Amino acid sequence: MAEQTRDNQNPTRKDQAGQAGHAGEPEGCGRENACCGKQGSGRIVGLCCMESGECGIIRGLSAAGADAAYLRALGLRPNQRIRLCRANGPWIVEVGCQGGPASRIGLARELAEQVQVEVNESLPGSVNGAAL
Amino acid sequence: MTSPSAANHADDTSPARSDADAERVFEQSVGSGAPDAPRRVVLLGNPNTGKTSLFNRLCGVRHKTSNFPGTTQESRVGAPRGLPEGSELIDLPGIYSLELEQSEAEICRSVLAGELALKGESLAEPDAIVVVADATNLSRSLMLVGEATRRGLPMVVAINLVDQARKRGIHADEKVLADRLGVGVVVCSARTGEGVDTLCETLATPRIPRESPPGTEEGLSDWADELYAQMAAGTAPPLPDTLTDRLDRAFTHPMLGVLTFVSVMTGLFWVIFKLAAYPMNWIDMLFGHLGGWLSGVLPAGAVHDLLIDGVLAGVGSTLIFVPQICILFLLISLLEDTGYLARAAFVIDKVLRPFGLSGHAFVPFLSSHACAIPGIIAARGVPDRRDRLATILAAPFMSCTARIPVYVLLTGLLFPESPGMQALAFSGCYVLGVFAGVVSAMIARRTILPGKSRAMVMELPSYRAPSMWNALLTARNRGVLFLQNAGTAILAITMVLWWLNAYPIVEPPAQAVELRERANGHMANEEGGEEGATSEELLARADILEAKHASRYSYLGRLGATVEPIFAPLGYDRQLTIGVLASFAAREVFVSTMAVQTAGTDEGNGFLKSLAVAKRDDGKTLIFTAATSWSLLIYYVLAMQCLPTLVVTAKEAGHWKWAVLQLGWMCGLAYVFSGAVFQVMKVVG
Repeated sequence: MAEQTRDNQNPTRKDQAGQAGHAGEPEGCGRENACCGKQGSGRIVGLCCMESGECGIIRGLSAAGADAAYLRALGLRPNQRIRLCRANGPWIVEVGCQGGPASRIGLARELAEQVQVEVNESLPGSVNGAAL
Repeated sequence: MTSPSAANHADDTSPARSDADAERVFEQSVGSGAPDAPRRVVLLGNPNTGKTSLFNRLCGVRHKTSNFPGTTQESRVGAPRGLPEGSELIDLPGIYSLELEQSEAEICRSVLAGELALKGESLAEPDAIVVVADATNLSRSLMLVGEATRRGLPMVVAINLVDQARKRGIHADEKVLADRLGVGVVVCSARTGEGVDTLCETLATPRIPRESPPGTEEGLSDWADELYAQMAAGTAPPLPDTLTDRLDRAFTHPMLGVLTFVSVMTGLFWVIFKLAAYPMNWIDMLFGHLGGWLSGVLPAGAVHDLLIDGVLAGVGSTLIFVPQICILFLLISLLEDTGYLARAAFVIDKVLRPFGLSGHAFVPFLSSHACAIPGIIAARGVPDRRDRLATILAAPFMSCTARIPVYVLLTGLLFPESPGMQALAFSGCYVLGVFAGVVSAMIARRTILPGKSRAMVMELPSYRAPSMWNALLTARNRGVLFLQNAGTAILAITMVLWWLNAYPIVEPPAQAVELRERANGHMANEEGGEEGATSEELLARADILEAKHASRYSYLGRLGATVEPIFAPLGYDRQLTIGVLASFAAREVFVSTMAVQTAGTDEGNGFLKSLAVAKRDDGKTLIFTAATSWSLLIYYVLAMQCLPTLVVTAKEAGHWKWAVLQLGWMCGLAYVFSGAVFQVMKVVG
């Protein structure tokens, strides 16, 4: 929780996030899983390309209109930390991850494709981070 | 969040507000300025925050369910503890944001702006908002708190689910929130009752928040994040919810998830059937006894017939649905409370999506196998309007319990010597109903309800033990709502049908008069024309003949004769046409109507055999040939033969045009397919 606090108060990180979310080309699943198979922290991928147990920070939403507003209202908004609990049918993510209280959201594939996440394997809760 | 204390700031004067505001707050804290006007408090919160549980804690059974005019959205309003007499607490629909373009959010916005009120209430801004926040997910709840502060209304923040937050090691300092906003903040647990008394006390002094987030969405998000960080500063990270992780792996697994889903739903279905049978029988018996008693007390005549065959039968046929509705919603509420239903919706979503339906449609479809009425009411859980309408239109295709007597009768006539074939045909009816329903939904989605089905996204609440008290209150509310909304219309329709079937009064047939004379003159003896018939048997036979005769010459009977040509292509004669017409009130009426129509044909061999040999008016042709029986079976699977269902469809869909469409589509489909089956079988021989 304290770690999340520091993240949220770090303007440098937020600026970077904004750039990644808007200007950067997210390696989303919308283009025939172009991102799938890529490894390592720092890559920006569609949520549907993450592996179960991976953590990351939301950097952008390509959904539009009511879907985007609903996702944001559910907590899936830029700079929020997430953990992918289950991949594929449905995608289940924990928003807030280990850094703070989390809510669990289930998404169909077409929406999971529209959430761009910067994978961070060192975050607590990640399969490569602290143990669950 | 360690104790159920209120972090309040009654001594503070709000620097951000004017003196007039402060005066208003004072007035509101001691009672309404207008003594006659009830004090209006609204409960606002995200779904799954225990908002309804908190409402139940605050109001108990002292509440009613009401609708917002022009919408199908209902809300509960009650008298809360801790507020003066005449105060009311309104449980607004759960929403994730006030700014969403959803009917629920629109209703909340309008209520907060004083532009919408429950039926019978005056339009006015609420006097206070209680924002229910989730202690296990405070960062998101703060977004809604921020949106509520922008309304500039006095408020109180109730941080609910504190017991669960503690279990998961989640801590946050509510005093920080109280200091920042200048409003009362109470940590509580609606489940255990902790902090509810403090909340009641705090409710009496709501205050206008002195801080609200910037107007932009990003500003709100930053404000909530920053506020949460301040509240949670210095606390340890929470424990992971490993139980939910493990259960989700099983319940959303491609194979195990489906197996679990089928098991849970089969169990639910079975329990509804099994449990509801008892109260349904009791209601049936009660009304039977009541009818018998009234019959003995009242003199024969129009009043007697109206009360017993009209009013009593109408009330009985309405009340008999109530146990199924209550048990269904009790179980659904329990399941929903555990958090499982949200997972089940995802499991079935893949199956229903090709038909233009979402996973939310499964519970309504499942419920419709007991009775279409609770099924259609359960469609309120389908968030997308077009999905919801498609679900409502398709739900009555599912084979309800009222069809069972008809299926049993017709499969018994078709395969009298083969129970195996009877079971196969019986199961086939269920499969045909499901298939017709989902295909009809698909057609509706591609024509009158065009547009892509909304992709499924929903919160999956943590698993937890359900609250029986909440489930019982939900079941009670649903039962009452059914009686209020549909009961009156159902009663009226039943009485009209009774009148059509009972009038005009006609002279009894000569054969019945003769039988009565013989019975009265003690002519029934072994030497008489009627071998072995006692006077009671002769009178019973006379009753049947009179009923048959009265039915034939009643308005409904005459209508049957007039309408017969329409049903002729389906193979139905005058008597079957009357059976079909009479069962428009309720399908099971077909069996009793046919019993009256064919009475006296071959009484010695039992009901089924007498039907099998019953002849048409020509005295030669059988009423139930194989072709007509198959045609009838298809007709009863597909046709809309239930007026109460139509009433509920109109109520739930928001307009009678949907009920008319449902009636036209289902009956049209039934007509075409049963007609085709009859004609083909006739040709094949």
